[in-house]
Amino acid sequence: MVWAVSHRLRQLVLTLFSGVVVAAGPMVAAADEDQLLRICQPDGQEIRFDRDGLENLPQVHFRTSTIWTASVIEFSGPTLKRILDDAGLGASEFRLNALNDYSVVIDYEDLTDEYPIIATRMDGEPFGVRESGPLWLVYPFDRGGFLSSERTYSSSIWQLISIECDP
Amino acid sequence: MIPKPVEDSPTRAERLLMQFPKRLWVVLVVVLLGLQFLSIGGYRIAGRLNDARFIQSDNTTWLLVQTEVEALKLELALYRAKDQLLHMEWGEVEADALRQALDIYLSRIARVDSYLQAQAGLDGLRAGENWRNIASAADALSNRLDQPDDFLPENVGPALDLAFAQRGLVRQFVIDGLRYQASRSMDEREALTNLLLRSALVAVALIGFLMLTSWAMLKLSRRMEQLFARANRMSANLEHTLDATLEGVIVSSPDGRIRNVNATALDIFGLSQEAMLAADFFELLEPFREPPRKGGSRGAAHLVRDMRELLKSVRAEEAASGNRRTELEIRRPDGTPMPVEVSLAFARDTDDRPVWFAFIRDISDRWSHEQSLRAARDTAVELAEAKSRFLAVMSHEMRTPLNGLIAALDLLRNSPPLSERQLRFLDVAERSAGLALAQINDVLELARLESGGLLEPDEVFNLRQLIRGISDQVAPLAQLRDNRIILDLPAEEEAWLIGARRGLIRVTMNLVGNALKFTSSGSIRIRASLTPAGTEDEQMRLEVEVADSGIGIEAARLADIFDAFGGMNTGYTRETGGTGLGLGIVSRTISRMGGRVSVDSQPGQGSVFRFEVPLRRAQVPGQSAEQMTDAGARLAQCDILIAEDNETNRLVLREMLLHMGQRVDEAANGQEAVERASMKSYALILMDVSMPVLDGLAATRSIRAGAGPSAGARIVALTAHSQPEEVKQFHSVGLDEVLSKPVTMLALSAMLARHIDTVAPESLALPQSGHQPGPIDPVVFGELEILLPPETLLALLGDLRRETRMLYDVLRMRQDCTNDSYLAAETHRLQGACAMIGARTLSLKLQAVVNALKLSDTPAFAAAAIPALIEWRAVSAALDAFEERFSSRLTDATKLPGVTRH
Repeated sequence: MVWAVSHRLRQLVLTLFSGVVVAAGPMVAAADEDQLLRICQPDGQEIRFDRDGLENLPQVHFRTSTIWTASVIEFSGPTLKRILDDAGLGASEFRLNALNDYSVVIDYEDLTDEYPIIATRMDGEPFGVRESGPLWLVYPFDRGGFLSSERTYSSSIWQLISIECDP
Repeated sequence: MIPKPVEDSPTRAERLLMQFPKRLWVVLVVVLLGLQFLSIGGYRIAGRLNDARFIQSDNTTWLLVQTEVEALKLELALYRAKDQLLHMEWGEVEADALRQALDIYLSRIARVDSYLQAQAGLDGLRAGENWRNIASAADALSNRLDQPDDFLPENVGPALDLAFAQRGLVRQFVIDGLRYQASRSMDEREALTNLLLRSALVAVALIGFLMLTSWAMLKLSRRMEQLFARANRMSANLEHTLDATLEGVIVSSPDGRIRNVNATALDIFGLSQEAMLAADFFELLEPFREPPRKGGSRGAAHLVRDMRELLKSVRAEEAASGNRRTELEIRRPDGTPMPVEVSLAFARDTDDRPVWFAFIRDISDRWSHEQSLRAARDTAVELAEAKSRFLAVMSHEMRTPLNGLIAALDLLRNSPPLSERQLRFLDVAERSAGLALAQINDVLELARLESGGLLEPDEVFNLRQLIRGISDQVAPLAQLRDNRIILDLPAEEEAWLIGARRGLIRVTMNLVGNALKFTSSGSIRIRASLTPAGTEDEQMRLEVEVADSGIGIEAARLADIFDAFGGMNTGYTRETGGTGLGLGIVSRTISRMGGRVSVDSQPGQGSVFRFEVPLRRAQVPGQSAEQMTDAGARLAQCDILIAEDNETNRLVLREMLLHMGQRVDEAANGQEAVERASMKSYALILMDVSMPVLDGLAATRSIRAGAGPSAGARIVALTAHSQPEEVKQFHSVGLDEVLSKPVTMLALSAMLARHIDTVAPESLALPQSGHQPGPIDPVVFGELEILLPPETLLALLGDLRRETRMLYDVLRMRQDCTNDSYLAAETHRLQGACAMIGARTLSLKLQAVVNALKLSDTPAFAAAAIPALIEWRAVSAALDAFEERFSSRLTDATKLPGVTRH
């Protein structure tokens, strides 16, 4: 309930002050539909990324299968750690939210310079909502061990749209 | 060898435990199998767990459930869109929201489809009708809604119908999926549980087994510790024992490598431990010199040699059972000899390898003691022998001058006139000389008996006559001391016996003489009895008892009364004029005859001397000549060789042997005898000891040593003189017997009977005429008379007379006798001839002359020659009488002419 209320509130705030926010953000997207990811800072400010913003960051590539796809796929995109570092969020836990209202809490400690990545492309192609895009937090599941555990799979959120610090 | 303490013997459980190390590989295999099983199980569990991870049961559930959620969300979005269209609130934003809901739903459908495809066990779900309907419904939805904005509103209604229609499908799909998932998990879990359970069981079993093994190991190790401690203790004890023992101990393997030694062995060999262990067992024990051992035991060299060979063979165990103790002298490595006693023991060590234990004792001390003892004994024996030899020689030497003295006294008595006073002195002198001669004869007799040489030939005699004779002889002495002699004898016809007549006379005479000497005004009782003895009829036991009523003997003296010189220090002996050797002679003579003698006496009550001897019964003799012929005929005919340089003697012997039916060959000296013996096989060889060219001893040695046909013949020595040491020598060169000259028919036939396979003559009896011969022994001469044709005998006697006269002259003239071997040989020949005709006394006296000549001893020669010359006169006179009797008989009985009388 709290989450729902705050979300509603946030939606409202978004709608009302979108122009202000866009003008104030360091990476201001050209158009609303081009925004792929929002990062909400504790002070209420938002950082927004469009495709170029994400793809201009250092890209990590790996090939892996997943339990939800039929074959091995090459995923590419910036690491979550890089994005959070660039955003300067000083928290230890973050909440990632999906378009389908799925959300997952991730411990900063679990992040590495190799994974997870916010995949922007599958086999070099961007992918849309119908293909669980356009952003999908993926791990190199095929490396096994912890990476193929249930917890990792459940962390692998698709249709990612925003990140916020967990209070 | 070392008895095991009872409490240390292992229990059954312990014995089982002992088996354990041998079965260790079984344990190992079991453990390895268990571990393999566990690792396989582990691998399979890991695989299962991995599968379980992939199963992602939570994710699956979420994924499936979200399908319905998102389908409902889409449905809701469609309702909302329909509502908005109705209220004319439809715009671009609303269209996008609808499209987003569709996209999300389609994304979900795609993900679920992929997921169902990828997950094993869920493909059934994917292939199900439900999902296919859902997928086609999703396609239909996307067809309806993927329209440009203008055409979208009109499709909202049908899409809503589609969504509504598929709501039940999705619901059913989710429920089916969850059921699928649940049963799949259950199977997996069950399988995993089984696997885990099995692994756990195996692990538990394995742990149990390992614990058991550990327990066994612990037990074993404790047991081992105990055993090790005990073994250590025992080994230490053994080592201390070995080190403390006075015997050297060497442990060696059969190839001679020394494995172990103790400190004493190092001392004995004077080697360091290292040098000892590097040495060779056999070389160490190689005898330097074998000590002289008692006969029969095998030598040490044998032992070592045998040992070497035995040790190589497989029969070493058998060898060990024998007595392997011996003494030998080893050479220590530093070169010094050392006598040691070695005993060997064989064993097998714990590895079943054969080992020898040698126990070595230094016996230097014992050896030197033994040697000094042996030397002391040898010296003592030699001394005793020398003493007895000296005594015999002295007596013998003294007899010759004594004979001279007696002869001179005899001459003196026959050269009157002598005054009364002179005659009395002469009596004393003659008595003293006689006593001295008796003493000497006794000593010689004793020496002869002790030398164990000559056995007196058996003779036939009548016991009654014999003892009566003795009684008659001592009658004057008995009368003198007022003693009565009582005889208790067997009947005359039962008293014919064969045996050592002279020995019997000697013994009885001595006992009776003693009894008379120690008795005065009393009685002497001589009792003789004969009892059959043994299985054969002729075996008899003669018991003679001489009892007197004289002074008796103290008990203390009874013990050594029969010792040789036992009587010599007694006052009585001196008083009564005995030699003191009498009882010694008695006891030795009796024991030589195979009998025994004893004495009972009490001081003042008298003495009883008893002896018993085995004898043989003789038949009552009839005509002597026929008896002799019979006896001779009974002997098997044999080839006999006579080796004798004296022609007369040879002749006599030949005639005697021919008379006994024997075949005779003759040899004039030793060399000739050897030659004849090498060509023919003789049953018997009569060998004169003193012969020219080659003497009898050398000839005997040569015959025995050669491989001739007569090398095994009986060889009997003929000699006129036999000192004890000579007899020993005779036997040592291989002479079987010694026959004293003069040889009588009796002695010869008895000897033949002993050496030729036939019965002995039983009654070769000639009437005995006492034992005191005149100048010529009538027995001997009588035999000659029987044997030789009268003319031969007369010719023989003539020759003898002639030779003797010549010698007589030579001897009478001769003052010096230095190196006159011719004279010695001639005298010796004459002596033999005299012995042949029975002139015993002359023969003895001539022997003294020969001895003196051999020694070039002029005074002895002079002393011996005179009695011989005197005796010759007596012999000559006797021969005159014989010749006269003979020639008259000859002229009566035969018509043979040309008999010359001298």
